[in-house]
Amino acid sequence: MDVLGSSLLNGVTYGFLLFMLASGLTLIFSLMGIMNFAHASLYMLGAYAGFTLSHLLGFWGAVILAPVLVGAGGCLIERWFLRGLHARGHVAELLFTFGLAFLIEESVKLVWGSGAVEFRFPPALEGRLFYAFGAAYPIHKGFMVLVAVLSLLCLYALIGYTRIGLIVRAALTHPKMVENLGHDTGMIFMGVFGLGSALAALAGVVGGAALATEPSMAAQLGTIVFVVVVIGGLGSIKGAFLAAMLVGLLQTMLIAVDLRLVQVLPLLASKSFEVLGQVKISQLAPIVPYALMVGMLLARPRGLFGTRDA
Amino acid sequence: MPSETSVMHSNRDHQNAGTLLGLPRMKGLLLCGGMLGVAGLVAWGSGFAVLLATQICVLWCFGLSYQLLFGRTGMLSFGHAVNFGLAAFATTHAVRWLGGPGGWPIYEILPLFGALAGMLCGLVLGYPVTRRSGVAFAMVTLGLGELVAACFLMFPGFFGGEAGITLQRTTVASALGLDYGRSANQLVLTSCWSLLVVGVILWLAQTPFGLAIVAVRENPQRIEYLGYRTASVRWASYLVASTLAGIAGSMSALTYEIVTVDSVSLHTSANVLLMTVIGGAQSVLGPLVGAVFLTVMQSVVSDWTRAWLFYYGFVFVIVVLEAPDGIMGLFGRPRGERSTRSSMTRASGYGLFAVLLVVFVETCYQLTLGEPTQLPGWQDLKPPELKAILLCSGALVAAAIVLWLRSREVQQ
Amino acid sequence: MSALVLKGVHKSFGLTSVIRGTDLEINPQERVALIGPNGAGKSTLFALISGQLRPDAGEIHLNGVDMTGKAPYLLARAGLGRSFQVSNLFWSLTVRDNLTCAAMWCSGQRLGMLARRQASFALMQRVDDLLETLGLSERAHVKASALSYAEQRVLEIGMTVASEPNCMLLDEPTAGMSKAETHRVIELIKRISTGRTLVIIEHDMNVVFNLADRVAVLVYGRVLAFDRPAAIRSNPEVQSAYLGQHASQSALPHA
Repeated sequence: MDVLGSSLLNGVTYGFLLFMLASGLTLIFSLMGIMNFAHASLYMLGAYAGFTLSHLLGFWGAVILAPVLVGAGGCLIERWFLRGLHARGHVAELLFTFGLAFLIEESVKLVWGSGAVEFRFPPALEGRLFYAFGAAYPIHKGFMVLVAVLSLLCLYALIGYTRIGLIVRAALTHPKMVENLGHDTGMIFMGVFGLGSALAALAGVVGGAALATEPSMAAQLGTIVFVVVVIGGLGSIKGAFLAAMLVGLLQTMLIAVDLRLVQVLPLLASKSFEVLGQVKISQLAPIVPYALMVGMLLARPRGLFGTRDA
Repeated sequence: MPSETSVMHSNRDHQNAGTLLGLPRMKGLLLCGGMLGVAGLVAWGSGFAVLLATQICVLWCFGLSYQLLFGRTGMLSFGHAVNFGLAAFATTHAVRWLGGPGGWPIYEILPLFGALAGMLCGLVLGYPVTRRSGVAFAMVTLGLGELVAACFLMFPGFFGGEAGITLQRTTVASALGLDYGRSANQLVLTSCWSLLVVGVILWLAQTPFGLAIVAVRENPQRIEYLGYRTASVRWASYLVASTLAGIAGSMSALTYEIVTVDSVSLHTSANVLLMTVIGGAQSVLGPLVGAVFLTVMQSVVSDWTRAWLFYYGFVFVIVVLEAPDGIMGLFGRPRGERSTRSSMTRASGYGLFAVLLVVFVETCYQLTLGEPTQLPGWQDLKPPELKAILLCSGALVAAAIVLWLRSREVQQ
Repeated sequence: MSALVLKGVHKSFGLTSVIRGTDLEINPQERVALIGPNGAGKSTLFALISGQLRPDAGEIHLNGVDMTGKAPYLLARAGLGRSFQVSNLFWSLTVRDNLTCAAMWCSGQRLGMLARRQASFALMQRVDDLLETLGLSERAHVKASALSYAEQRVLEIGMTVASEPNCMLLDEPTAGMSKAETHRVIELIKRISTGRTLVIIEHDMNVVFNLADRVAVLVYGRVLAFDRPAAIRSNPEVQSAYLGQHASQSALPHA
């Protein structure tokens, strides 16, 4: 019971982290049709920038400045590179972001080395927030959830209640029309890409400090974020949230289950399914998200709540 | 007017992948030169050179299958290694099963097992994934690739767990009585199979199938009004590409005598993508150039510097931005566009930039890692000197990039 | 048996109703011109017939077979050919290859991998004949993107007839052409549509009255009148809705 409870808690926390990443990605995709392969790399850049800035300005300075810097970088990427590739189609954009992800990972190794760096929360955030299910829930995880919730609320408010947000919402489904109405879609695209990048970097600062800050962190999280976005539906923040929770919980809880498949599905007890039956549920943990993504893309490319087809 | 969803390819006439007879002079020369090179290696080469050449052939074959899928049909797949790797595993099991004393002398046609495995993958996996196209297809193949790779621990009998499975080439007898323990013989066989695959690709380009897949890439909407179901055409293309990838996979298993889960991983899928794009996705020789590039970087340059991966990624990004048809595409551009003098200036400009970049990157690595690179002269430099070089070269590189970006803006 | 039958076809986009109950019955080998003011829904109707869009209600029958809502490739295989208002060619392929693509399926070549295209005499002959008919023999090796506008429109028509359809839909084939070019294209259309059913969307009234056996007038998504050209010209409803007050004169200004 304890195991279930604590993995539930961890799953939700992880889900919030995934949500921060997925929300930026789904916003970028639904607006510009770009599946940003480099999104997780920007997350990684945020973590490393946070690490370096925390030595110069302290952790709190890093939390504020790292997303700003990476967000600005995102604006420049959109302005200088993606805009020109737009005419060549989505596949060219995808190839570029893929190459960019590769390049960013190598650049990180170039500057900070190929090992993990010691990026930790300040002492104020260490220690435990509360005790539950036989384990201490650290303050920094609560901080991560808080940051995620705050950024969700800000995003929601920005998109739902401001004039800029209105234009963005219109451009989500009818970009050409918005352009015809005289709005500078270039600035909108740049802004949204920068915003998405900043969100990813913010997730990186809190995620990198909580988990590890190393060059492989982008690759580890990258495909999972795509899974979340695809399942939740492209263009839907609500979908991104629900899918992030689903994937976060599934991944965390499946690992904690110490059963074999045959114990859950007795039909696999026969000799012919022996190999399948002996599989541990925890081994399924990495597979399930991908199976869901493939299934969703084949059955319903729009995802659960999407406004645009993949 | 050209379709907005067209994949990056230039105005190259697709018939440039034409017949073997009457190949454009340069390509014909390259091919002959390559064959002579292989012959030379067989006769006098070191074991290392022979192994590299074999690796290049395997990668070339793999790249050709990807070129059919991506270059010709416009289907960007992030999971092509699934076909490659599963065929490699299948071949390894076939060798273990059929090998040993009293086994049939079928070594030369073992890649057919790979082809069969690839074909099965193409049939079974290909049908669902080709229901989607474009970005959705890319995502589905990504998910499928990760799914298959993640399954590997579930079936240690087939995949052999973390360590993979091994085979011994010599357990299968040769129909020609040759000893394939000798790597030179393996090289000859591998290059023969690669040339066969080249022949298949060139042949297919002249068949109705070959035109239909290009049409689907060019204008998937219009082709539907001409009686073709795009999903069926894509499935056929995926099937053929998987079969050819299967041949490459089995050759890989036979050459290295080991297959691990890395063969189905995103890493391998990414490599074939990068390699084919850099070499040129529109030409039969493109994957060869890409294979040579990758092999040289991976096996030779990696001895000199750790930054080879950085350079690899950098070249890829540059190719995507500036030369969508890869290195082979650069050769195909019409000559009359600019004078030789300005071409020379440009070339030397790029060369200078490359040198500056290398200096910057190597200095950076040295400062970060604290251990000197193998490039001559670097070991003797002290940190203050290194920092000075870093700042200078960094500033120059940044300036060059800014200049380049501005020139692109003018073009746009 | 009619070549093309539309019964009570409806189509809306969101709250906007574009086709509001269209009925049409076209005889085999008949030439029908579809005219109407801009926004009447002519291109939408073509999209519905060719399978690009699915009607919200109603039926569409081709040669007696119910083809309502079927995918474009099925309609193409059933003998429907369609051209586009904005040329929709394979831009980086040559003229010859464009026509070869169009002729491949119906000449049985499909996805064949065992024989070269050149080896099929029937296919090569058909493409050569088409090039001759279209007057593009000299330009066979030119990329479609390098052709002049008129040549592209001619190729567009050629793609439509290459598959030997029994029913052809031509969407404003002469749009943007000079008088001489229009005349040539109309002669071409007359030649290639012999023995086939033809439905042509046109704004040029000279073309319409020159070419069509019957004229259908589409206004606000409904067929206002469907009759011989002379009857249409003197139809008072059509005059007020589309042709204007001086429609009784034989020479009409271009729309």
